[in-house]
Amino acid sequence: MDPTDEDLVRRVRAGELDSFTTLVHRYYPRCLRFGLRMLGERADAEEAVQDAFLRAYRSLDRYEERDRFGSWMFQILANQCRTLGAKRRRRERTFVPYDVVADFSDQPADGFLAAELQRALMQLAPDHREALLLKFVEDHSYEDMAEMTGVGVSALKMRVKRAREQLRTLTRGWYDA
Amino acid sequence: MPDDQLDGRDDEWFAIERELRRAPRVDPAALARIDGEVRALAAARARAPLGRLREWLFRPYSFSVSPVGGLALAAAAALLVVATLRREWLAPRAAPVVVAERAPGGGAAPVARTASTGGAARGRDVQFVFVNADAARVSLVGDFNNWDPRATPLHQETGGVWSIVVPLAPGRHVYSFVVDGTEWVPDSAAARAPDSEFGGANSVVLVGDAT
Repeated sequence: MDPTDEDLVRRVRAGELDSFTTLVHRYYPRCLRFGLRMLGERADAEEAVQDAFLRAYRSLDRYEERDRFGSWMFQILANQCRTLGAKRRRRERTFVPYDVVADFSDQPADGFLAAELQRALMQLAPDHREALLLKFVEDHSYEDMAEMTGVGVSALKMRVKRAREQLRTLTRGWYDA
Repeated sequence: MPDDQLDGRDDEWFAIERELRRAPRVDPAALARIDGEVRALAAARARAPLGRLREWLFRPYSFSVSPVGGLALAAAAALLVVATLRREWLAPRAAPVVVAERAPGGGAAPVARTASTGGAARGRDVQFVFVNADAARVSLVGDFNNWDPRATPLHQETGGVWSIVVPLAPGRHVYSFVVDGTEWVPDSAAARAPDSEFGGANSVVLVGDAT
């Protein structure tokens, strides 16, 4: 049976570095997906995820067992993405949508549509995009999200609702059966 | 599932969700980079023992204890406190052992007292007390200071009392008091030395082992 996240954290604290590697392998794909969807660029996403894992390792002593590692990890990652996203906006770099087709392991049926969806996602306000991804893509509860972001549950529900409405408006008719 | 999640989740929305959930391609080199960075970080920490100690000291620890366990811990702590206080209060004090003492008199009548308080590494601390209200200065001479009147002056206290504490090795020591640099006065209450290398009367003190 695979060790639980808590087992792995305990082992890392006891000096077993391989257990942290196991945690990285376990969470990297989900973290990268979130980073890619939030930042829209592979290089930025990989940087945010790498920094988040290093931060997690450095902060592992402060991790409390009542937390869940996945939520805790996403809390750190969401912070990293906000920081990187803000830096990028300050640099006023033109957003160039990443190559969605090349960046995902299972190829979308329609590469053009997949790229357009990412472009539409990037039009949402960052805090709305973050809430939508945490809720509908990463399956976090509103309570977890509130803990991760420091935003109240009601406000998060409102963000998710508006983000979804906006995304549906932007993609209307694209996915008709 | 709460209504707000079901609301509006039609086929079109499910298609969007499916697309957004697509698993990303993972670059093994990116994973290797994280692994390398973490190991470098761990190695740097291992090289900084003070940093680790500080981390260990300031790291918050949490533990849980049952009500019964908590009561047992509290009782143990209380017992420890009581036992410590009892030991502190009831332990016999190292009372000074008065070798000889006599009420102070006038003139040159000496009253000398030696008291062992223990504690010297090589033997014992021995207190010498001399009472003479008329003396300007008093010193102690003996085989432990080469009979040098300037080596061990006594300190003047109130009421004509002079005293000094001298660490002495275990064994027999011959001594005398010197008043005003000239008058050698033996400790009249202490044992008298049978002979004197310097022609005057001297006293004897026996010092036991500190252990």
